[in-house]
Amino acid sequence: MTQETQNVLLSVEDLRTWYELRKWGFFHAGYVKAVDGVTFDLRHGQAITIVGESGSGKTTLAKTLLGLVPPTGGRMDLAGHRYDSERVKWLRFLFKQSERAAWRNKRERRTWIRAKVGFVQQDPYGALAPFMNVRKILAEPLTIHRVPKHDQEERIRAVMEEVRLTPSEDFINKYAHMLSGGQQQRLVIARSIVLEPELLIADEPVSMLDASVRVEILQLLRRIQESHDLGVIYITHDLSTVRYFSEYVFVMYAAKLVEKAEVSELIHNPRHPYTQALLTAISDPDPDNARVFKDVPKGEPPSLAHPPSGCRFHPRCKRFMADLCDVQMPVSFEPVAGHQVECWLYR
Amino acid sequence: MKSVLRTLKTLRQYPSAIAGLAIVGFLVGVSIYTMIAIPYSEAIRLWRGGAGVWDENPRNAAPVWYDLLTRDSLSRTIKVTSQGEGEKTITPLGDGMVRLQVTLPFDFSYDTFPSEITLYSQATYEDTRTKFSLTWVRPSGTETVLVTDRSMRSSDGYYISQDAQLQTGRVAPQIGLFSDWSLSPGDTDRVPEKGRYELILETVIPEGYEFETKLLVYGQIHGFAGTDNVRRDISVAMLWGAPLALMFGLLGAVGANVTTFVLAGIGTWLGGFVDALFQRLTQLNMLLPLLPILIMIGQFYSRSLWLMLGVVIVLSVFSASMLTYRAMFLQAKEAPYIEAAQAYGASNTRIIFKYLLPRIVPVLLPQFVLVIPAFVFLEASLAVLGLGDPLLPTWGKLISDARSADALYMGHYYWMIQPAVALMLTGFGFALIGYALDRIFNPRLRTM
Ligand SMILES: Nc1ncnc2c1ncn2[C@@H]1O[C@H](COP(=O)(O)OP(=O)(O)OP(=O)(O)O)[C@@H](O)[C@H]1O
Ligand code: SF4
Ligand SMILES: [Mg+2]
Repeated sequence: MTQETQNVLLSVEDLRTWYELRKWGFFHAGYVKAVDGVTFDLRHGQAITIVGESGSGKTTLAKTLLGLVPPTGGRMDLAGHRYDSERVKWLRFLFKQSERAAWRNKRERRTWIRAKVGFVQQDPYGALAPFMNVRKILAEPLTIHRVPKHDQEERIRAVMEEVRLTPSEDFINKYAHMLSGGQQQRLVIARSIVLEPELLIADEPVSMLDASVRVEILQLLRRIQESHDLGVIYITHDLSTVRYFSEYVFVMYAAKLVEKAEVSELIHNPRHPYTQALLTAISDPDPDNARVFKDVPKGEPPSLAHPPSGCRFHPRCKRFMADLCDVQMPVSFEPVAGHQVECWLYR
Repeated sequence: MKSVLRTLKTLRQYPSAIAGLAIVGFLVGVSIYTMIAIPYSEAIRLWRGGAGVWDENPRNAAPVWYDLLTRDSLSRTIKVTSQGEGEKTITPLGDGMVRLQVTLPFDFSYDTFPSEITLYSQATYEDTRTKFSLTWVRPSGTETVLVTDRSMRSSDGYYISQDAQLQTGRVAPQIGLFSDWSLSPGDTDRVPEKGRYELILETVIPEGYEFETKLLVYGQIHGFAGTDNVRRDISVAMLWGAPLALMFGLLGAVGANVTTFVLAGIGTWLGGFVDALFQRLTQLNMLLPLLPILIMIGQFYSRSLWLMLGVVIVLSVFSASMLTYRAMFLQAKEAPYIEAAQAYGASNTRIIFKYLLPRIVPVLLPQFVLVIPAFVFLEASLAVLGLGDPLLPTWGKLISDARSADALYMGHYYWMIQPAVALMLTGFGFALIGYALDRIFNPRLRTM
């Protein structure tokens, strides 16, 4: 094994998540291919951003990585554990059993806890059970993972300090509706790191927050990422927030990652026509005016149930090449080292 | 849970809820008192009757609170015994016989006549029949000889008020004996004479034997709830009806409503086969007629209250409210915090019981409170349909008995009205609490 592969935290290969469409409740009527052939590696302590317009499959990718939605195909390895595959639907039960057996070994249990993935959702208010107070919310993951009661309180105080919900006495008995939006999201972040995960998936963590607290929350995430050497997947539809965060950006279009590059490389040398269209649209230097992704390139986002043939961007692409782009799906090219793009222009 | 408790405290702001709580609290208090004061076995004995249990009660007597509604003071039951206030004089006659004279005095100060007069006697000799004579002395001093040389068994009862020979015209014996012909001569408008009465019994009995006698002058009112047509004290059923109604209602509500709620949560969360099964069972069960099934069981198997309750619970678990709850759970399970719980590894059981159910408890709670009286009424309806428990003194059984005895037609309103009021009060109390809870937990109603 090379140094590189040893350092990989999350390895995803050709991941597909298709939602089955049913007619009258039981007839098969095709699939919504919400994630379709996603491949990437994430190193320990690396932060990446996945940016894409609404409906491109970002949330589905996040849920698949979290194990909330079973993948239709492909491979996911977290810290060396294969944690889901095509066979899962039936094997899931057995898989859980073996997982449970592993728990009995204390050391393995600890590694498993560390290997866990934290999740920060979009809507902080919805993400917090309205009938639980702060202590309970933070204690739940600990209880589930059998952290002894007397260790819980200490851990809860520690994460509250970390997300600056201080003094913790003032907050610990409050209910979600008594907190401001920003405080709620801090609490969600606290909960996502209370088990000391190695990977944090944040699905549009600031899009529902007031503009005044967005930067603060992103900086908090950044600080946590750095201090814990945490792998972070930050999902957004707003390219202007990327710079607070990560080294790497993946551009998602219609269930695929069409371009992967370092942040500055992508901003200065976008290769994919879709990314280029995006960046011209947000060339306005004032980040507050940077328009949200959605309505940027002309034309409609494609249907994921019936995606366009060949390159999925071709009906909207300015540099469309007939008989190639509409026939064959582009493969990944690497015009510059570390900059991958799925577009026939770079063949 | 804490938030539920917190919300319960706000109940205080609703006067109607306080009234409801007061009513329910009163019923609970009565229940506790009853179960301590009249133990179950004693209640069954008083209700089922048996030798001599009801003999000293008047028949069809009104409750004592009737006295407050009338200007006249209504007569109450008077009991005089030869061991008590009575006086015995024994004169030996030789031949091993003695002459016995018993004087039974009592004061009568009511404005209405007694309902019945009966004399019981009990002697220790056997087989021998003796003869006795009775003389009735009114306060004014006038005397009436009731019988002379009436033969008497060792244990006997003489129903004075039913003796046709004592009837004068349309004046019944208990009226004639309690009013003086010379003072109030008409058949109607007679008023009872107040003062000290005496009944003098004379007999000859074998020497060395005991003879005791007991005079009962039955009143027109008895107990706080009156008596029925077999002299049974209705207050026993009024009191024991409370704990039985509360128990039936509570067990029914817990058994049916809460089970439905939990099953709906489980079905909705697990989805797939379990959910489909629960839905089909519900649809099937909604086609089953509850009442005819209960009638059949009552006719052919048993009318035990607890069996009926069991059947009702089983048949209401998969009731229409399953579908209501399912709709709520389907919405609640989409909440992001449930997804978050899955992400941090909560098991299905934990998600159902700690995340899904608590969310809907605010909706369940008012319904649960409102369902309790529904079960109480169901018990009453079963009783009225003749499916009441033959043993237990319930309010429904009272109404059923009153109905079959034509109580309303006969003018014994209290017999039917008291249990009916108790039932309505119960329903009212729970309804007041239930609606207040509904307004607190489902605030959209608050503005309406
Ligand atoms: N449970 C589901 N069943 C069927 N289709 C679904 C389901 N969830 C999502 N989809 C479809 O999958 C596609 C991708 O949805 P997803 O939520 O992943 O997009 P997204 O990139 O997160 O969008 P947004 O920015 O609006 O959150 C959409 O077309 C959506 O309609
Ligand atoms: S493959 Fe063709 S259609 Fe697709 S982005 Fe590249 S040039 Fe445009
Ligand atoms: Mg999304």
